[in-house]
Amino acid sequence: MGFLLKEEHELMRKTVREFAEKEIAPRAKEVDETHEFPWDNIKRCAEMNLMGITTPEEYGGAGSDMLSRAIAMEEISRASATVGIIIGAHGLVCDCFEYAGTEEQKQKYLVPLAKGEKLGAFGLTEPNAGSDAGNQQTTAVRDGDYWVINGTKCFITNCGPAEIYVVIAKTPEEPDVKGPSAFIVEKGTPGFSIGKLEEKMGLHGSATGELIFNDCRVPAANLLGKLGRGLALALQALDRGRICVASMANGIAQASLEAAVEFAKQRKTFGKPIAAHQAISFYLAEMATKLEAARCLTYRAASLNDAGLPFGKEAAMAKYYCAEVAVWCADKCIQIHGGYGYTKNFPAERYLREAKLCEIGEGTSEIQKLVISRFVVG
Amino acid sequence: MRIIACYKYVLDEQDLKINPENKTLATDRAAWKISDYDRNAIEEAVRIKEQLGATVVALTAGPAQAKASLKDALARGSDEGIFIQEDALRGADPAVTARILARAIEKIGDCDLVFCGEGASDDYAQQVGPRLAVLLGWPVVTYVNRTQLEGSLLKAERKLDNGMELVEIELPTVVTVTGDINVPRIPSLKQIMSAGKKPMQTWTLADLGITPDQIVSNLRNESVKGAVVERKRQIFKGDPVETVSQVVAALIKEGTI
Amino acid sequence: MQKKFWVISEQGELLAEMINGVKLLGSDAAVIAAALGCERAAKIAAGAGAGKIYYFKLNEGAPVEAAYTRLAQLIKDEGADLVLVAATRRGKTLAALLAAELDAGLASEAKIEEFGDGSVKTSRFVYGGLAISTDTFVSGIPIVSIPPRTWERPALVETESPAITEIACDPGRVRVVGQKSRESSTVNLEEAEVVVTIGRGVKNREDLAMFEELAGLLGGVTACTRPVAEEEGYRWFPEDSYIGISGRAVKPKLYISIGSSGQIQHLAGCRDAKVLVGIDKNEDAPIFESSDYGIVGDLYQVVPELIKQIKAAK
Repeated sequence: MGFLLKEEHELMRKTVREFAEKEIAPRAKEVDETHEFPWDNIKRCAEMNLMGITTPEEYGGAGSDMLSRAIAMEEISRASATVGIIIGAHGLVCDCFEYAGTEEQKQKYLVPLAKGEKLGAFGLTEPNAGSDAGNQQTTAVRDGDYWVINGTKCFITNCGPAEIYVVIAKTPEEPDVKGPSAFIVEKGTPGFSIGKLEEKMGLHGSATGELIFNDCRVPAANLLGKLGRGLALALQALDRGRICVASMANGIAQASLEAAVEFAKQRKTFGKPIAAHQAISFYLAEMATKLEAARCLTYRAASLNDAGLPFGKEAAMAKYYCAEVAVWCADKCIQIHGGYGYTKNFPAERYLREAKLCEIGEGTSEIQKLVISRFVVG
Repeated sequence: MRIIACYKYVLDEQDLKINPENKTLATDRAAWKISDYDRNAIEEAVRIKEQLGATVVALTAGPAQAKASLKDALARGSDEGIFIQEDALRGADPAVTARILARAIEKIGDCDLVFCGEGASDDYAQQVGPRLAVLLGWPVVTYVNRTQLEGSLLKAERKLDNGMELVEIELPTVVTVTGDINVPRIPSLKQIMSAGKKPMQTWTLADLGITPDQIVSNLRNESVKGAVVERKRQIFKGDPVETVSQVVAALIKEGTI
Repeated sequence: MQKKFWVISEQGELLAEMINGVKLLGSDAAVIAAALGCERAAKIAAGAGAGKIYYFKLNEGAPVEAAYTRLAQLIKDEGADLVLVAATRRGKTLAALLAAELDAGLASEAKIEEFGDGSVKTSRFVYGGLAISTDTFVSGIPIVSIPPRTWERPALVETESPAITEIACDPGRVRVVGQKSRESSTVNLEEAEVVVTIGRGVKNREDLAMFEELAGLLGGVTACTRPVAEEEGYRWFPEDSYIGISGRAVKPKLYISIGSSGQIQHLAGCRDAKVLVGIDKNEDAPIFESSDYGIVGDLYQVVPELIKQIKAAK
């Protein structure tokens, strides 16, 4: 990876930023307050080709690279992390189809997903299978030309608004087939329902909740990838997903930094702007430095992926580090705002509520460290 | 039909700062952008292309860094981009810019319609469009906020100081557009990616047969300085009765009211 | 040698202003006026004291700008030390056409800072009013477009005069097929001693009465920022009555900005105010950086209180 972005990437950033500032940012506070799913934003993101950034053009995507996706995720999340996570979760589904879908499945599902005509959701987590993702309790049993799914998924992003769900479920073991498998479940399939939606700390506009399968029958053709390879597929998709969450964190950190700088330049104490007090200016310096490091790590992971090289370790590092930086920056943003930062009149508190998710979703910081340590220790 | 959309790559005025000591402009942290009304010019050309079929050539002249603008202009729907590189054009007189663009338009050839923004967001001189027309021997319609093309007849609505003027003109013509004529699209990712595959050319003044003595300006810039007015900045907040009485007292004391 | 100053406009009022102003640059100069497409303007120019007046009679359906070729020829024939064009949109277009035809420099919407022997120095806003560019003409005929109301407008007198010569114009290729006029401001903002300007912080059109009352008490006038004149949902004032870089520039003794954040484009129109008072609810609004006195608060509390206290003080 070079240390400078290419002209296209700069232009892409500039353009997505302009779009996000004009069309997404103005809705962010309202979406946070009303908990309303921002369909209008998502529709425009689709028109901007942001719902299938890395999906090949022949399958309805923009056919761009992972670095572009990271930059776009960052800029969208800088305006609204809610829209960021919606696109991020949707992207996991696109990646699953791209990696494992048959030509037929790609045409039927990936094309509308990548065009943004339909929204996707990724169903891996269960009440007893979060960090311990292998401990799947949801089952799928073959019955003639169908698979019958039973079980409950939880903390699923885009739960409800999504029309296409990729669901990981335990399938019967055979001598050479071990582990869960991935299935495609369309909204409206009998036996599949949406359970309770979570009331979350932040990211209010994104729908998060339970998927309930009660003798849900899906055609045999809805097996995504090979039997027993579902968890492997999920983990493969999550490598890119981690770059996306890292980028989302970078967007929140960037927004926090900008809000903090703006406030610090205007707010005066003891006769001068607080930005002129070292206690505050050093915070700003630290925020800017950590964010730059976070961004470098993220872009490096993305660039490795673009070069066709292994990037799992770097993606985990980026996810872990960027999430912590985002939380730190949002926390300092509130601190710099003082009493104002603790109120809803300023976005600082929202940034902290949003940043916290980055340390938890798509693998907690602890899981990232576990992944990284395996690479380090060997 | 070939339509040329001229644009200027300018510093984003929102990023500019004034150095408090000497009032000079600090431009080093400022981003570059396609000038606001020039985006409207490109958009209008592209809309006509989409309705009636045409080739849109985006044309700009400027110092080396302006080359980066070509992909932006192409992402906005132009089919070809031509950049005339000349470092002397930084802060150039619009007379010089118009001379260079006119030569370029002649070199491109076979063109019926040239769009420009009403003025650039940096110097807002509002001269390039009319000057281009004179140099090309064409008519010009300025401050246009609506166009309708019927064959080779252009119907346009001009937004003037005291109202609208409806005009008709046979092509070829130069048209300068206002900011209200359209809402410039924000290019999608695919449009950005396809921009890199469209034809782009960089020309020098020599390619246009322009010699250095032909880009000498009649005006010499003396300075560009921040327009800062020093004010007392006594700001009051709190109880309205209290704050108002303080301000009213101050105004009475200094004889303003 | 006697200097020759040209003043050019399609409006008599603006010709009179420029004739008035140009005398400040050289009292013994010959003033040649070009009145474009308006006979009344030619008579006003004569009444304002222009020594020679060309009345450009336009062909039916020709826009004002079509006069430029003949005008350029006349300027070439007679010579010019300075050409001033009133900076209406038509005027600015004509000025650029003329400059190109004469291969001359043009300072758009500028102020003349110095006029000496063979050198003209101008200043004008750039970057949306953030900065001022100062330029000197070093060759060619200096052409400057002058914003309306730069100079005081004298009483208008229409005079029939033998100094008026009618000129026929080329028809040009642009045909005017219709006009739609719009409401224009009748308020003389430029000469007002007190200007009360309202921004988007004002919620309802009915509230304007309150600001009228305040302006009336102070012997002043009301005005607005650009969005209040032009944006959907507002348009409470005629479009030509907003204060700002692309609108009117005022120089009152007292300027009160109410419910405006103080964007640079707005401030460029009131920079010459002697005293500036800003009222806005946002403490961090840039208006307070540019105010002599600022009141942070709800304008619906502050303005009635201001009215009450000014009344009491009287």
